Amino acid sequence: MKITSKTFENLSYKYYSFAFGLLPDELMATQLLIDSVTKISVMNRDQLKEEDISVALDPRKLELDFLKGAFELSKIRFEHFKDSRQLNNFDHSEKNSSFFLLGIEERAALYLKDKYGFSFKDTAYILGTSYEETLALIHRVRAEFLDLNDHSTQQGGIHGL
Amino acid sequence: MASNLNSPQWQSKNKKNFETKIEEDSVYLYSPEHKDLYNDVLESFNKSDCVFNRNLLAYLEEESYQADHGIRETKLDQSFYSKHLMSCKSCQAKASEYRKMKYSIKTSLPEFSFNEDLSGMLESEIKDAFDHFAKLHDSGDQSVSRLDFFALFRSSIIEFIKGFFSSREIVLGFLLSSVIVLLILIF
Repeated sequence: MKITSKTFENLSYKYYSFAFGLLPDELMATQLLIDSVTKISVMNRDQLKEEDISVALDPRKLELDFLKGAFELSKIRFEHFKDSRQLNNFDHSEKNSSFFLLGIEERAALYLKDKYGFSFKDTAYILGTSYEETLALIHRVRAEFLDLNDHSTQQGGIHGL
Repeated sequence: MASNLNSPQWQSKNKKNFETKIEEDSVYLYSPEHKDLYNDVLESFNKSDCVFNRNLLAYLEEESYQADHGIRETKLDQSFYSKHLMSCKSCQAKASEYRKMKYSIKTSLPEFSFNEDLSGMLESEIKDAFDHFAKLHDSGDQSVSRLDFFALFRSSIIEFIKGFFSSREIVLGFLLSSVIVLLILIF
C-alpha cells in the first residue's frame, strides 16, 4: 500500500469523531488532525524522503502515531483553552453531557477502546501510559461513564415527569 | 563463619530441617483426618462465583477485540474458556453482564460527524503538510534545517579548495601574479 496524502485524509475523516471528542469544536478538531499529520511528517522526515515510502512506513504504526500525535496535542490545547467559550460551546444534550463530564484522558481511553475497538496495548501506546495503567483506567472509566449515564437518565426521567 | 554456612554439610542439614518444618506446617486437604476442612473449602467454592470469573473477563476482552478486527484465531486457553462458558452458569451470567455493559457503553458514546464545509481546508492543508516533506528529496531543497545548511557550506568550501589547487593553470597564474606584484613593490 502506497502512503500518500490521501492516506492521511482518510485517517482524518475516520478519526474526526475522536478529535472532536477531545476538543469539542469543529475548527479545533480539524486543525488537530492537520497538525497531527504535520507532526508525523516531521517525525518521519527521513523515511518520507525514501523513494518507496510504503517500505519505510508501516501503515498500522502510522495510524497509531497519528492518534498518539493528536492526543498529545489535544492535551496541550485543552489546557490552554479549557475555560474558553470555544470549547464549552458544544451540544449539551443528555448523551453528550455525561461523556464530556469525563476528563480528556478518560474520554480518549473510552473512545479508543470501546468505540474503535483498539487493544489495551495499542490504547496504552496512544495514551502514552503503561499497559497496567491503561487496564485500570479503562476499568474505572467504564464504571464512571455508566454511572454518569444512569444519573442523567434518572434526572431526565424526573424532569420528564 | 561464612565458610561454615556454605559447607555442604550445613546446607544439607538446613534443607532437611526446612523440609521437616514444611511437612509439619502443611495441612493436607485430601487426608481423611481433615475431611471436614476439605468439605468446607469445597462448599465455599461452590457457593462463591466460579474461580475462572476473573480470567473470563480477559478472555471476553480478547474475544470482542478479535470480533472487531475480524480475527478468527483461537488460542488454546481461549478454546478452554469458550467450552467452559457452555457449562458454567456463573460465567454465563458474568459474560452476559459484560456484553450488556459493552453494548451500553458503545451505544452511549456520542458520534460526531464531520462538517463538510471544512473538507476543503482539511484536504488542502494535509496535502501541503505531507507533500512538503515527501517531496524534499526530489526538489533537492537542502536548506530545510540549519544543520543541513552548514553541511552544504562546508562541503562547498572543501570542493572549492580541492578544485583550486588541482588546476595547474590557476596555480601557475596565481604564482605569476604574485611575482609581478612583488616586483612592482620592489621597484
